[in-house]
Amino acid sequence: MYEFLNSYILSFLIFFPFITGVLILILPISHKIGSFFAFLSSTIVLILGIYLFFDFQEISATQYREIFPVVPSYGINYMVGVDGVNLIILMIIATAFPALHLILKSQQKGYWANMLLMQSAFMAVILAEDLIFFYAAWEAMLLPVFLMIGVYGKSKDKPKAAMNMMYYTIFGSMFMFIAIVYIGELHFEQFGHYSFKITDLQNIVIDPNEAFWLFSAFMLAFAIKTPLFPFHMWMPEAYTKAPAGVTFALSAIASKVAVYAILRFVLPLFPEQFVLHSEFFVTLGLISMIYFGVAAVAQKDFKTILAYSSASHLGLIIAGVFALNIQSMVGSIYQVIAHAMTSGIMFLLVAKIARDLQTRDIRALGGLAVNAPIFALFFAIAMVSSVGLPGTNGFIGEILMILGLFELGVVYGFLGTFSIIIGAVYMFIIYRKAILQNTNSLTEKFTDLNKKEILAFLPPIIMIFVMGLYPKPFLKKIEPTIKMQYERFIAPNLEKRGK
Amino acid sequence: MANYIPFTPALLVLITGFIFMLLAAFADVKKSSAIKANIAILGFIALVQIGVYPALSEYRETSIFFEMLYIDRLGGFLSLLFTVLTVVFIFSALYAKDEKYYKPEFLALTNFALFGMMIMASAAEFLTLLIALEIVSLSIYTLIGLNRESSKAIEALVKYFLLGSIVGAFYLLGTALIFGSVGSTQFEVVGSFLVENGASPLVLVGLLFILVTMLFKVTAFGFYYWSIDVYFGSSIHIAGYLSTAVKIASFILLIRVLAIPFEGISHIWQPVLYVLAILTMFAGNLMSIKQNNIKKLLITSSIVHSGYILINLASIESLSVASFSPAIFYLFAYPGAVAAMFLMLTAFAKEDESNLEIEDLRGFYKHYPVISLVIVIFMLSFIGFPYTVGFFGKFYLFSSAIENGMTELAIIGIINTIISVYYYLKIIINIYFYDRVETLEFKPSLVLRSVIILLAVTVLLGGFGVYNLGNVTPLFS
Repeated sequence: MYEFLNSYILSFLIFFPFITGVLILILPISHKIGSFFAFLSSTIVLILGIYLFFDFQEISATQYREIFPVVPSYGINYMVGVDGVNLIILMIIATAFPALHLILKSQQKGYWANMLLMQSAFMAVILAEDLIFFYAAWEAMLLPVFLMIGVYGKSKDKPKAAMNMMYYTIFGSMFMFIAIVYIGELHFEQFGHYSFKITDLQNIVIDPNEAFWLFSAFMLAFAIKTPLFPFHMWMPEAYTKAPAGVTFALSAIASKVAVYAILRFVLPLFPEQFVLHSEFFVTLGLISMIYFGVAAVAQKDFKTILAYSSASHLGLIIAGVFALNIQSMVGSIYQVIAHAMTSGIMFLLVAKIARDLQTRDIRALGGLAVNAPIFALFFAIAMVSSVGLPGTNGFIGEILMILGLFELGVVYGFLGTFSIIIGAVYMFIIYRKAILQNTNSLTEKFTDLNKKEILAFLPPIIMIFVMGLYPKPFLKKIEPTIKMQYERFIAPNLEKRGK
Repeated sequence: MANYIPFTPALLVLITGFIFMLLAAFADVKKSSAIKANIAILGFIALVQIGVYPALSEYRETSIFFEMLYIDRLGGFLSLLFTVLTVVFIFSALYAKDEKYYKPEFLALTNFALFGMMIMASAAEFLTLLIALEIVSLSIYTLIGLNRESSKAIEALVKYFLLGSIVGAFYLLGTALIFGSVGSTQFEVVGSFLVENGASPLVLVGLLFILVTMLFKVTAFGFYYWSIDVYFGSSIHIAGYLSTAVKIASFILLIRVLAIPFEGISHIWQPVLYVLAILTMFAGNLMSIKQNNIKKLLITSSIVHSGYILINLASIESLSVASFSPAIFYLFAYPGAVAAMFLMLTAFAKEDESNLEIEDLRGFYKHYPVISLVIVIFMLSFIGFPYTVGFFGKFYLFSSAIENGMTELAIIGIINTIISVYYYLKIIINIYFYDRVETLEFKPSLVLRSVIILLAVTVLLGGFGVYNLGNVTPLFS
């Protein structure tokens, strides 16, 4: 049993939520039982995730690898594996979903079944080591999001928001698909057989001109998903019109998956292009950060503000990924975890405001803290972490990235610091407007978090401080993989450029 | 003599056709029992086909009737596929709402059409090919005309008949020109003659005329406009049959003709197909994008899919039929979903199911969750979404284009896929994201429902690689 579990644990993490999700959808069971089974299933995934986290060896190699041929003549495999970086993201995915059951009030079994399908697709994307399987999972991630925006979204023009989201992301990923096929053909030409394994594809030689186009096709897909300025047009609508669970998943997980995919696929496949265009993407990341930060100030809808602020932080993360040194890359991954927690908490707290008060307009709010001190406290903790106050996990990630950016160039470091300050200023203004001050007739009725909700929010709140004060155990998991990637893909190309 | 054994299925179909013709004339058989009898007979014939399949020789090795027909695995497999699709077609007529589509001659004509397609799939010579083509066309013309109450059907019949006859005449003239310069109508002889001697202007004109007929049948750009009127005018059942079985047969003909007799002059026809592939995809998409009628959308979007298949024909370098296997895989993969969609349309309780608009599907999922999910699967397969067979179909087509150095064709193909996402998503959006205004009844029989679900399952199985390109290539080895 132990052996069996150890060799198929990743497949179990991918397919178990999928199968339960489909069963809940098609079996004629009541909404209550369906939701319960969804909760049970995500709890099992969480337990396995924790087991995996502690069983994981702190080395740079990929572990728990599973290979199963799908189309042998074309070298298409089902291939999954876990290393230091995707282990962390796997933990985010595993922990987030059971907690949602305690917070969100939806009674629809279809809602929870779709959440399970989403979880399965996220797992598949981060664990995939075969490009075709990765692409398949990448597309599969979209469908539940698309359906949930359309079916469970509340606003009138939700079909338009869903269509925009789907069309934009498919637009990006289809070009990535052609690039993947092209890379497969290159492998065929150079080695005489097809393969889409990332481990095989690292060995092919790509002409720089071709590599530029392939690199762009990949980056287009990831830039749309993140989203980076100017590929964000789908984002505000989709984030705002989606039901709370989806907004949470999009902001806390889907956008991180894109960051991760850059490190996992783009860097090993096109290391030269990665180094060559790093400054462009650092600049784009910083522009995104400032642009979304400024855009957030002008918004009135609390959820839209958070959407923009989340995109703003992702801009900095992308800049960190492309800053070409170990500490900023480690910082980015650390910030990926930190941001998943803080933005997840904030989106869910705002979902509670919307549910209880039927509005998210910050002009109508105010004085929430009077009746709901715990709510206000939790929101404040998430917020100070998101602006990077020392002692919280946001600080560790941001300081590492800023240091890395200073190493790359003083201007980049300065811009990064400056935009963090902007972010802090507007978050505090919004907090004062919406949550502090006096109550009005609407917010008088607002009640505090109940015990179940406190229970669900408490672990990430504690983690914010744990990871902020004692980051070592987490850094230890991330660092070997990042170091290996840096030495293998970035350092040689940096030397080349230096000459 | 042993070579003739694989021919027995076709012969049996022909005899069945004659029997039903006589029955129609002299006996009064009830519709349902006649249809059931025919389905049983075709089921038996399918078994015979499976039985003789091992006896089929390697590709192009054996021919019968003085080298008029190939006896090979490709032809054998296609015959089986046509039989299955014909069974589905006949079966859908069983559930036609009234006697409008059914006359006693219906079964005889369908069997003749099936016989014609079986011959089309294994023709080894230009004249046999024409005769088979005409057998199919005449049967289909009459099938369309059986519905005398609809003026649209009569219009479709006249258009199809006139245009079909004209291109048939072109084909005959082309064959005559080729016979005049080569001295034979056999594919192999023409092929080796052209490889050795190159093409004289006369042969080129002949090629042009023959290509016109073929491209007309596969609804390529410039030759597609008839198909919208004809498919739309004829009943849903026949439109479904035309866009699955008949279309596969026509494409296989095109592939055979290009690969064998015109192998030596690919540098002449490939650029033509290159341009046509691009234009076909864009034209089909332009017509589909503003379409609200579901039947018409299925018809116009099938033109786009013809364009994808042409990508493969235009880009391959080595002209063995095996290198056409991406196109052939797509031909097997795509019609399942089309057949299922047409079948589904027959079950809508609407006065004229040709008028079913996308908006009519609003809120459909609340009442028919399983069928809605199945429609989603088919739409995703049309898009080429992963986990459906359409994904692998497109994967093989585009990678064949890249492999042969025509990346631009693959990119244009993907751009057209992106455009097509719009109208396929529109159907999903209407099913799931809007509430129903008026109640639209959907009454599928249990058998129809299971056939549709079965087809959806095959689409998914293909998406998980259960059957793949590796299963197509043995047809040529």
